[in-house]
Amino acid sequence: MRWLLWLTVTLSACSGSVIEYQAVEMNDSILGDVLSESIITPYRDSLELTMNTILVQSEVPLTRAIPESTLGNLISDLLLERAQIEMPDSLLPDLCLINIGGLRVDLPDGGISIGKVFELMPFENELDILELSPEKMLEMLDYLREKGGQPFSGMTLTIKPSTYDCEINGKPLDENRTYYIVTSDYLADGGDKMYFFKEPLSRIQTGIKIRDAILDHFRIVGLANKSLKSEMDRRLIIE
Amino acid sequence: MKRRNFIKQSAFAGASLAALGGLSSCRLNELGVVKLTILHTNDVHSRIDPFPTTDSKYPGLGGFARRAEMVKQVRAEEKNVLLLDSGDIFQGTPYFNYYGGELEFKLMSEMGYDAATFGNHDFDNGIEGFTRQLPHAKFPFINSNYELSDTPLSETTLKNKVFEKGGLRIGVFGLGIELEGLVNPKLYGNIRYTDPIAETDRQASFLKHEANCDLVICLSHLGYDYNAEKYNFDKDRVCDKHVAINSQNVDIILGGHTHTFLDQPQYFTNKTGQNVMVCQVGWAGIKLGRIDLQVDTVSGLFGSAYIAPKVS
Repeated sequence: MRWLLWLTVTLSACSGSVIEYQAVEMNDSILGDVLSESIITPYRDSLELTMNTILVQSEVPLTRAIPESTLGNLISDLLLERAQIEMPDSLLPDLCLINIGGLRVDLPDGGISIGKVFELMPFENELDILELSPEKMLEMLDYLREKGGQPFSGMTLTIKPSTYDCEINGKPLDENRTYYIVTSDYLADGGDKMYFFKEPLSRIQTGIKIRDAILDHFRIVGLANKSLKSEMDRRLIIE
Repeated sequence: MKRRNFIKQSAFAGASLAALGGLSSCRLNELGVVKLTILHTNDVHSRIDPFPTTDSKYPGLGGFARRAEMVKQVRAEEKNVLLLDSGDIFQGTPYFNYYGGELEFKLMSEMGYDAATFGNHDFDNGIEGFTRQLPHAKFPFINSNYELSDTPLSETTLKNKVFEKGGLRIGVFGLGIELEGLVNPKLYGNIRYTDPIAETDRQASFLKHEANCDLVICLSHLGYDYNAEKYNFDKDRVCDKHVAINSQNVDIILGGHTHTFLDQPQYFTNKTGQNVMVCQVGWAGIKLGRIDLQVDTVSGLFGSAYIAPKVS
């Protein structure tokens, strides 16, 4: 028996290396298969037409900056509005907070195409609503102080050297109630160091993609023959 | 009589001898040495076209048509080819947002994929969105650790499948990641996740001992390893490394989910002291994994398959 085994080992050794691995890079040295290309072409052409479709005109360039920006204000306003439409009165969101880094490009004035919105929001992030305690709300204000601002809606905030003037829905921050904040699922999980979002009192996953909310808003404004407007309304002042 | 196989190289003869045991009878050289080529992808994420040449990380790389051409070339040269995908076929480009995965499935069918397993993103349009595209897939989905009986997937999903190539029997089973916290519950509905390692024991033992497979492959979307710092929140998640170390009868794990580029396979010693080969080719179809094996089908010589890393 052992002799048989030895014979086999020797034989297989003679056949040379018996296992080999390669991770083959798909680069331009490989010409695309013609049949596959012919399957792709109609989809690609039709997608290109879609991506080039103009949804709406913007009166102003929509740009990103902190503490406040035209693009940040527009997007956070439309996300808050969308979440308020979707939620029942008992869970009505008070404010929206997103991050400027999540908006990937500026939008020029003039026609805005579907493709531009995909560039602005290439991720599949969804809108989540978090219920925060007043203590967490104060942590959020500390975060905004440290960051020098992030896009938000539903609040006016003056950051003073050691205090805050904060109004939500026209009322000062109330330490005896909780607040419902609209944000992205990415930030709700603590992305961009928004740790105050971790372990909220409650969390609702709306399942609405942020990009879809933006596309819907732009389409509705465009179909009404209106154009996008946005201004710096001094919702955030850092003294 | 059970057919056993033997994949190895002389440098590892000692280790193989150690695996010897429980011999009963032999069937000598019925098939001899059979060459098998396994091609694999993972996390292609709807990357139909190559990245733009202006891309900062992967300029001009990837693309389904190139992969189709490469697969065609391999098939022209090799008789026994298996083409497998480890999940997250969907999501990542407007092709998915607008066509829902139809084109991905059509192209994979054209390339002749033999099987795929589910990734979490394959449910991004819900179970319904997935099943709607399924008629375009001329290959089966294999998953072993999702309880699917209360879902429309139960009829179409295989727990495992045995492929015959050149007389070899290759058993394939599939492992999916825990969906809770990763996918909106509305989307994954009544899919229930069960322990991947327990299921691996069941599947691999069945495939090797009852279905008499020469080789057992695990298609996994669990992820390679969560010990790296970037997975701070995920350290306890079951990964391919855990499956490799805590299993027996599995020869190869073709992984996904963590987008790990393993330019060479990683080897782990399993419960019975045998090598398990773990592979993953990053994401986006930038690379196509290729394993060339020579399987010696001399029967009964070893307790189970033995895979040795190439020594060059």
